[in-house]
Amino acid sequence: MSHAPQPATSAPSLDALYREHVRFAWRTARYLGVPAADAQDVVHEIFIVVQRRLPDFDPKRSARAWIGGITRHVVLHHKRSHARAENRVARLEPPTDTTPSPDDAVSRREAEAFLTAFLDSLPQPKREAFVLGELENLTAAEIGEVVGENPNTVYSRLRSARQAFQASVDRLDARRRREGG
Amino acid sequence: MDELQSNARALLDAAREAADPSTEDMAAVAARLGISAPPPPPPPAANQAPGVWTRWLVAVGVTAAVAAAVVVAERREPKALDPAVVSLPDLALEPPHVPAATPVAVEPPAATDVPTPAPALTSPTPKKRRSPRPAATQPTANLGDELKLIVRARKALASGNDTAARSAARSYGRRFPEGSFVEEARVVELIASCRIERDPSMVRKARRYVDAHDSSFADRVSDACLAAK
Repeated sequence: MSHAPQPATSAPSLDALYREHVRFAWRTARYLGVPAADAQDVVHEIFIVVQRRLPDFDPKRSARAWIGGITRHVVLHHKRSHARAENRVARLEPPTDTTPSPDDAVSRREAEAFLTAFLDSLPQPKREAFVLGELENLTAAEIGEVVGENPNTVYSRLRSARQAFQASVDRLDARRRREGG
Repeated sequence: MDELQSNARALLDAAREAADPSTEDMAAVAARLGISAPPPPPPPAANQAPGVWTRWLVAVGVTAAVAAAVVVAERREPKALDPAVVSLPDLALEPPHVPAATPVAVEPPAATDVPTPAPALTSPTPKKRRSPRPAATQPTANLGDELKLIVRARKALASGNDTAARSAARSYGRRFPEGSFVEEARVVELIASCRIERDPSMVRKARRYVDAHDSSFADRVSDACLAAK
């Protein structure tokens, strides 16, 4: 009987998915290239899609991978839409606020800006692998599900992006030491 | 390389925190969705490590050596990659990061953070997610000045002040020729130049950039300089 309830694998509610995964969806959208100013709209759209597709969701699957796939799709659509918009160039400007603030906030913004610039320099597949794998700790299998690639391909991209990021941070360290020493 | 070293990990953790939605953001989206539930509580990582970046900076020079020994040990969640489904060739680790002389008293024994590939790739036991801890280096010590200048260029470009954008981008390039945002400065300069004077030479320059790069930056140059008006 297809409608027989199975408590152990019953579909989660939209509320539950939202509570558990909104931060993941938000951060992923942001670091896949959605400006902060658009993040609310994009995350809203993500969960509209989640709600629409919820009846088809297999609870045995990874919810993070499922929502990650939806997030990726919505973000790509968003970016394509804005690519044609005349204010596209404005998208270069992340919501970096340089007004004075506590040191920790400034430093977090610096880290955010550093990471964003790094991600912007990557091809999209490596960007996706790095964001999902290093930032959000999805497994290679989950990332593969999100992007439609096998885990070995995902891992190769992730490793390459990780090396590039490490090199970038090391260069920053080296400059700091030179300038400070 | 199968894991980031502590300096990169700390920066990534700080960036992750920075991109978290605010409670107000989450409540606003929930309201639009008709979800009555209160905004979700902060995840464990945020609870465990508020101000991780600050503590990290403060710790530099005081407890870095101790922290560096600790930082490799923990993670917040299971490791990203599932070794059961990943088959990898032998990996050549990058050489340990050798610290140079520095005014900061304690420089990170980065070698202690160099991961060995075997545990990450072969252990079937999920590791705890990395816990952001005070790291061994201070990678953003000079980012503030860089960021101010590149933000000035971005803002000028976004507001249509292409001349000011190009000027700021060029200033960035001169002042920080090895800076963390040097690629973005190039892109801002290219886009601003295209908008100031979209002549054949600029189009060729943009074409060369786009042909040589596969990135969001290249997409933006293409949009601004090569797309049909």
